[in-house]
Amino acid sequence: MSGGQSEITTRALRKNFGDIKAVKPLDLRVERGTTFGYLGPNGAGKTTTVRMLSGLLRPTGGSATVCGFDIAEQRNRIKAITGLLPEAPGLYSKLSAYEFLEFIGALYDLSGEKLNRRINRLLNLLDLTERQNDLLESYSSGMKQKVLIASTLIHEPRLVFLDEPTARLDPAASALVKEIINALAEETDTTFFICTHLTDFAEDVCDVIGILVEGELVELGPPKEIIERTESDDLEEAYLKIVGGKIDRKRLLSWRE
Amino acid sequence: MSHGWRAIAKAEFRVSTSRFRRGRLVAFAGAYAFAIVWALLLAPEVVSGLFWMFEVDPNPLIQAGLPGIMRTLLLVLWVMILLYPLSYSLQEIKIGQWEIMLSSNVRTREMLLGMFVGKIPIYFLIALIMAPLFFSVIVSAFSITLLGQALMYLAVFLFVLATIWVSNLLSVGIQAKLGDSPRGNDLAKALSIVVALIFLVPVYGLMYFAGPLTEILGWDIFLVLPSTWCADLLSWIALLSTSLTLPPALMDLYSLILVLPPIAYVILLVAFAVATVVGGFSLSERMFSLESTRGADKVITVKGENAVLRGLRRLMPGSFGTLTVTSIKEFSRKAQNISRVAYGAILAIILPVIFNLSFVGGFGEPIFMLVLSTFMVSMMLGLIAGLTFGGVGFLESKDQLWIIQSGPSGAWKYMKARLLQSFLISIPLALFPAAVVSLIMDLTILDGLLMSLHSYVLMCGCVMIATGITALNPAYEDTKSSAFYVNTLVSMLIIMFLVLGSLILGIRVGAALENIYLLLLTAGMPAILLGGLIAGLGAHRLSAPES
Ligand SMILES: Nc1ncnc2c1ncn2[C@@H]1O[C@H](COP(=O)(O)OP(=O)(O)O)[C@@H](O)[C@H]1O
Ligand SMILES: [Mg+2]
Repeated sequence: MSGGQSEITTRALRKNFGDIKAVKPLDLRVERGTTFGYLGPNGAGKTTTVRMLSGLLRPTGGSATVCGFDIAEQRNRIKAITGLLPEAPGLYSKLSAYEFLEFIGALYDLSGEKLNRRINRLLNLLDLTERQNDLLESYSSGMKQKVLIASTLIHEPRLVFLDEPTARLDPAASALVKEIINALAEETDTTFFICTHLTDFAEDVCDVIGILVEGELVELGPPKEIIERTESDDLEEAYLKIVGGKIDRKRLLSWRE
Repeated sequence: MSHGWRAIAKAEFRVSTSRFRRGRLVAFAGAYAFAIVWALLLAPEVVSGLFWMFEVDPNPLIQAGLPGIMRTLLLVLWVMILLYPLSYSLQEIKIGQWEIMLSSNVRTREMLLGMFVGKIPIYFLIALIMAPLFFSVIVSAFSITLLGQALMYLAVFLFVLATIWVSNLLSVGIQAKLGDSPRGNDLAKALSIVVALIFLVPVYGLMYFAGPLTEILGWDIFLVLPSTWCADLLSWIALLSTSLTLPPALMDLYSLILVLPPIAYVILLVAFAVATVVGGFSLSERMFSLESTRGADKVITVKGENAVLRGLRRLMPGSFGTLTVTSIKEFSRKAQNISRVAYGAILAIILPVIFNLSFVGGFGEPIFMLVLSTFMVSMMLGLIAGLTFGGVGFLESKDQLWIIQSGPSGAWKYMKARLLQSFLISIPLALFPAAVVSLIMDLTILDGLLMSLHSYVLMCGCVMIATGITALNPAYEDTKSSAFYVNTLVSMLIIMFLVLGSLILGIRVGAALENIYLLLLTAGMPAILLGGLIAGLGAHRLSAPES
């Protein structure tokens, strides 16, 4: 990440749901090739931000450009070159992994030999080849997540949004996801925008981290800087200091009285 | 037995009445108050008013045929009370909840009891509203004493209770067998649709073969049905508590059917109730054991594509062809889709035949026969195609929609592929019932083809209408959501009016041009045009970002 091109720029981007201010005016710049970690507790507004940036949700105010395209005017241009892994995605239970990837590829206008080659490579990479013809209804949630990650990469996007990519994975599978992200980030110019509430995952994978609390971006910078600034040992401690997760034992046990 | 069953019953009741969450108790008290007034005062008035309006005196008819009428009524009531709760509860497998209950050390028979008790209020209410419609006629025809009436209602309600118990038992058993896997859920939904056919076909068969079987056995075959026991008991009560003096000839006629003394029916009914309760309790341990709930949990591996799909790919080599082929696979692998479609096709065959038989001498004019049966087949097929392809078959979940929308123009591509998929699957669906109906009704091949073509055009229109409506207001696979009810209702209304209106338009055009073929072809056009419009609106709405 060398002070280069900006891949995501938001200007006072915000979103209200009725009275709930899900995302407060957000000014964020993510540079091309960065692996950006969007960290925050449940309900902080991470998913909402991603949905706005990927053109699925209309902002209440402000503006943003993604890969140089305006999110209000050029949604289809953005969609063609980005990939999105939604938070709790539903798969087509009656398709096999191969068929599902074929379907998603076709949605991005891929077909024929080119598509088949990519599917085979991805299935191979994610160690799914053996079960590629089984219906997805029989997959465990970790395997489903792998298929979904494959589906977000199938059209070789420039920018990938991953919303809680490892939330349902076992340690081995999440290590694999980390590896994939690291490898792609190093060897290609792919930008990753990763929502997570897992600090160790963010620390291992991300070059830059933004911490969101109740819709407000309260920290932004490389993990090392954030740790230093908050005088912590690791990102988890820093995060807890920022988010205010100090634990009061008395209150925790008060229900037993 | 501890009080765990009460908590379960309460939860069950709350879930089934969650629609009137706010004033649940008020609503129920009100509904019951109304139902009682209805049963005692209103229903007799309404029913006798109806007979008076049509200038029919039902009394002689009912007096002459009491036992037979009673058996039919009870059979209908029994099948309904048995099937409706079963079909309803199969729409959603609840084994996840069982696990919670089992882990909290509730005994399995308490679970069974709780689920049963929780169902009583609502189905009892339904019985309380339905039963008086039939019984008030009988009560007035025999001017039965108040004590007699009370006994009759008591017998019916005990019978309804036993039936709800059996229905609950069946639904628990089936759910346990299928298991809480996506595949199990799909099979359960499929079953909830065809459950009526599964039960009705044997009952029809019984009616058809009743005569010969009774002769072979030497006793009335209908005596095997619990509903018969209750019906015969009711007939006895009516005879014993009537304030009329019945002619001996009539009594002789009755004794041909009421072969057992009243006490025998009481014993049979009590034995039935006790047997199902004891049987249910003793099976409960095995039913709820979660090891046995993995029945449908097997892994299915897909094999190569068949010739039709390969041909389609060759015709459409690009990404759109891939989308369409995948949509066809996805749709046709869901048991619930198949069972809906099969159900519709069977109804489309049965309906015109029944109508034809019930008109004395058929539809008369052959041209009439063609037009009317085409009308019925196409209406049935249009409805079922619309509601299946456009309803639950359209989108599985919200998250799936996010995935589709994140492709460039994803919603439009998806909509087009889904529509083409529906049009393709509709081809055999239009050919098959039309062929059977033409065969039964002796239509010429040309007329049969015309019927198919007209049905097909209408089906395509209806699919677009229903898909468009679902896209405007997505309900996903949740058949209990209000969005689903609204969509279904709106689609049905539009389709029915459209089919009717189109027919009238077609008849006008056909009469002006004196050509029956032009008539039927014109009749399909409005559906196509309106369908195209609504589908376009739906796709537009789906592709807009949410706000
Ligand atoms: N469609 C919606 N309607 C109303 N409120 C919503 C909707 N989506 C999200 N919210 C609210 O916005 C806030 C942020 O949610 P979300 O972006 O999902 O948080 P995160 O992904 O960080 O856990 C939450 O308070 C949530 O309840
Ligand atoms: Mg989220």
